[in-house]
Amino acid sequence: MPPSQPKLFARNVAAVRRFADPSNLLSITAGNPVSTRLESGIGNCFPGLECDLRNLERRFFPFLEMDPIDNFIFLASVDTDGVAHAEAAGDLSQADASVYAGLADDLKAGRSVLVSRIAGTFGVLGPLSLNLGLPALGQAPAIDGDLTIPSTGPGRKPPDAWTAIRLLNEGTDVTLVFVNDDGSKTSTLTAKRARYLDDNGALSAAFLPGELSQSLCSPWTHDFRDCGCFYWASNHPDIAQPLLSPGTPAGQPWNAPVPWERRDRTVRATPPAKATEAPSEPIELRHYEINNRWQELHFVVGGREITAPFSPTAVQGAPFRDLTELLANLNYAAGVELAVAQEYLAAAFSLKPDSDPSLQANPDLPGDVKAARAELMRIAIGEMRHTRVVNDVIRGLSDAGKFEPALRVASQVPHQNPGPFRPVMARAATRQAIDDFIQIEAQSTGVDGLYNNILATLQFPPADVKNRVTDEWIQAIRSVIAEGEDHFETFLNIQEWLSSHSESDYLRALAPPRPPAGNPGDATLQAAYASVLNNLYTGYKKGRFLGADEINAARASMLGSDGVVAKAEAVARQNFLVTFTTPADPRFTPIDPPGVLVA
Amino acid sequence: MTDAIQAIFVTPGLAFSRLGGSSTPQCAYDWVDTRAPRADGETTIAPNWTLAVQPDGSAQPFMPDSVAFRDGDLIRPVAPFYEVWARVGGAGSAPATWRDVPLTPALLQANGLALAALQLKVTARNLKAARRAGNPQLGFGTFPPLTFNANDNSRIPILGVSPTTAPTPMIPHGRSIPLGSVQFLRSMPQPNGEAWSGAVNVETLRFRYTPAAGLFYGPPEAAQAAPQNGRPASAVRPENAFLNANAGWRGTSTSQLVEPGDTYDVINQSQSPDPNLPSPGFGPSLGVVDDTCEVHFEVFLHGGQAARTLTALAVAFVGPPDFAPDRRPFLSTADELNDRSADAGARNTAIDGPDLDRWVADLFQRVYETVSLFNVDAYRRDRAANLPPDKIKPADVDGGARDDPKRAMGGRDGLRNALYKLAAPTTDNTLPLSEHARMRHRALSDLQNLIEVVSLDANRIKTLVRPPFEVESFEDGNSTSMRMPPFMRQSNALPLTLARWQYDLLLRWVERTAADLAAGRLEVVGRPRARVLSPAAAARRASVLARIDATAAVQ
Repeated sequence: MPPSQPKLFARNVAAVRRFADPSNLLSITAGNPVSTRLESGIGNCFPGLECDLRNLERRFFPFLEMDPIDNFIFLASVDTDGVAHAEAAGDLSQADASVYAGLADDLKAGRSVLVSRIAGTFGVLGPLSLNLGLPALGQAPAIDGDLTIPSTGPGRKPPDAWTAIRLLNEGTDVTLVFVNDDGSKTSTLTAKRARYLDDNGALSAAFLPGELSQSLCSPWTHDFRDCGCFYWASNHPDIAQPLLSPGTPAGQPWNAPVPWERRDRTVRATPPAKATEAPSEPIELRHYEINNRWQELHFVVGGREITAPFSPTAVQGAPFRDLTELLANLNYAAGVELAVAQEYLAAAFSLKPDSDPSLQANPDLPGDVKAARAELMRIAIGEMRHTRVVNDVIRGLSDAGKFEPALRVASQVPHQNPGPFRPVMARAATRQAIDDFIQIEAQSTGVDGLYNNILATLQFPPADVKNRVTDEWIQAIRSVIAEGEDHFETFLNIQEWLSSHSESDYLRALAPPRPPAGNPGDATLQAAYASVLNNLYTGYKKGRFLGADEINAARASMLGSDGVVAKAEAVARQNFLVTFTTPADPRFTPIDPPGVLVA
Repeated sequence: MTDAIQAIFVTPGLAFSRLGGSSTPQCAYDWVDTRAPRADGETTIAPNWTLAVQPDGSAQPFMPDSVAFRDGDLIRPVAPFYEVWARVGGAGSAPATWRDVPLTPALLQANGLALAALQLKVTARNLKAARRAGNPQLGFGTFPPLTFNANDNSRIPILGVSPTTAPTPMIPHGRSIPLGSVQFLRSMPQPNGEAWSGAVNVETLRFRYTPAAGLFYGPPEAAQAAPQNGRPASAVRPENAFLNANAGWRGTSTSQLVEPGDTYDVINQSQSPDPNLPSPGFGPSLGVVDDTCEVHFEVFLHGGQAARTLTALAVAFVGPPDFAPDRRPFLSTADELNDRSADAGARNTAIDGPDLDRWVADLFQRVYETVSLFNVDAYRRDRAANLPPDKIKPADVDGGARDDPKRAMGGRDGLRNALYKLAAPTTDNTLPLSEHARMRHRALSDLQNLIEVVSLDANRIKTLVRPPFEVESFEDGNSTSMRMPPFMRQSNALPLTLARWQYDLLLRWVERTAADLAAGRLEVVGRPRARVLSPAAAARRASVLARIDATAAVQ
């Protein structure tokens, strides 16, 4: 699919001058990546990466080329042919042509010519007449001129000569007073500040090939290695998350930024040393060395170094190393499904019941709460279904007779910020909780990231997985991922529905307490929950078909007036948080993320 | 009657081309809004219709599945296409009535012109050594320019040589530095019904510039490492060490006309033990050049009804790759050019209402995108100014946890927001300032949070964002306050600011937002908002409630 509207604004004067039809302003020339556009180049140049825009200011005055240095403006050359043509065409007075000729003669004679005074309209500073700096000329002493730091507040003047020229308004009158290096002669010219782009948005013909890039570094890598200007992090990162070692999921310690231009580019099982505030030059590619190694630098997308092609929609997962690692992650995935289902149920039961009269205070509130609760319940049930799917896949990948149902609730769930995990937290449906639910269901993060790795392993299986993979398992995991997108969208909707209400308007309590030990309602609920787990265990153990009775029994025990849902509602009615206690049974012991030890 | 071709132009008029050693050019891609709200930033990249140049010179559009930046060890070059367009109108008609249309063989034929009437002149130059040495003979490029017609669809190499007038050519006679290639593409009849038919017109006359591979050249000495001179590795490959060391570039010290003056490979990079001696970076040049260049394309259309030659110009600037392609600069080359044009004010005036909101949100997204890869801690350490007494708070916001509280962005900086206490670097969190900057700017790239800033203090943004080209008494090219953007340099090494047009628009938005807040026309995030559900959320809500009602009805 072609991308949606590109992120560009119709401000690009080079395009504005080119097209008569405004609808063309944002069009990207067919076949060109956006990195060809002027919007991709760093505007502040010292000296720059693609061109040095300061060279524009060298031709701010018609027929003249000038060098602004500190507080001085030196005349570099006079376009005598241009002057002659303009005079012949009647576009230039004879008197002015004569001044130009005098300046050209001075240069030809080896005399330096400087601008001693400049008057014009200096953009945000308004009309000004400024004395410029002059070295000692003839008998005259050196002059500092008007340009100085500080340059702040009302009535300020530009801090240096280049800034003064840079501020001049295009097309407004500029008057220059010239003085040559023996101080014996002054001359004056007035003209419009030159245009740098032509009527088609192309560079003015006054600029010769190579002129805008003549002040860039030679070679470009010399400055790319250690420029002290700090202006180009958008093209040349200072720091980035390192390239992931093969098979390593994104997460700590791989999320800590590292120096991007580091000399040691080896990809190891552990990430490179973290970036610090200390100078990074000692560990960066050296001068000269970078000339032959610059193509080793990594592209950075989404803040992470990459070497593989980037696709914003394709699965970004990294295959696990072997069957053991895959099964460990599938077991954990099942536990995550159980954990988030519990979180979603706790949130659902924290919403005020439809019968609560306070909901009537706002005409939208009853519907919003009812819809939110229904969707939370639907998603929680969906997560339970995912648990079954994952168990099916685990069974399919396991050796015959070795399958053990995955019904251990995860101790932590994947999380992006802060990442990579957070503890499972049953809580009310606060704004923060809904925010977290969105995050856990978001594309390429949270649960989705875990399943992407599982899918990648099934699609690109290691040797000991290859013969066990079937299209069915791949499709099953794809469905889980696809439903995650639905869950994600649903939570966004819930967030929007509830955003126009205060939390206290729709929650029974902002932070409901857990039921105290011995609370009869809670005891009933926990017993029912243990029964559900037992039925699921037995059913999964038998298999999809042979265990159907137990699985159906588990489902049945969820609903009805004596079901888990009703029992949970009874707990919630007491203004307690609905939680589910893991039975003291090794089959249901909480499971940690693979490779993570939890204290 | 056929519209007459009154003028021609090339689009893009200015484009960047980016070096890469792969023989496969970079595919087309755009910046787009990311669909993942928790992604690192609001912008990602997505492939777009890409033109594969066929052996006969025609273009075959295809949509890549992904964006590949490299082929193995080699980076894909960015090779821009340039389309030739015409302005057409009746004979004697006013230019304001002319229409822009792609130039095609059919349009040429309708104007009585053959394809050969369209001519391309290519002039490439690398003047970097020439400028630094103050010697034009050290420039190199196309001497003379290349010229060919649109009916020549071959790929023509651009070979850089020294000027024919050079008494001692830096590039010896018979040798050259490849500067890329140029090719006029073969126009093909535009089909209907292809997936790309609405996006790509293969009938348009276009040419493509492909940059060089990113190689370096120097005199024989440059192929040798010289650790005693701070040159632990060779600067160029042996096969590229053929430049004449006596031409004038090798051995030249920097020219004062070029700032900064230390940005070239020198013979001796060792640190001088004597602090009174010039920095080694300003020493004699090793004589190395690169294969970047600036290419001017002049398009001529000879003859025709106007009985005169029509011309158009386009330029390619060759630079390094954009290594963070989904991160946009907040002050781009386009922004800078906008600021130098006469109608910047008028175009600012035309932006208001929701367009202004979108523009401000986009600006802050771009700020975040730059900040996200920026080591603020290191730059604060190097570039934070010592603050004068009137800029210092009595109490340390950070409670003494961080070094240098009286330097910019320190705990006693008067510009610091007292709500945000910062920690010192630790082993676990080595860059707390960078992390804080990312966190704050990630939040501020959401317009609601920016509105909240205005609601809390209508002057905060004005106080914190540096006006165009302002420099305070205690600042210089090496040290700045924390006014935004902090610790960064502008084009002439003084503290960086937004362009004037950007600053004006931002302040206009702040003033409008403050007025809207005061008048109750805006509410701030965190407080219950006025009920405005998106169509999707409203539809989903109705659907869920209907489902619940239906379920209840059957029970």
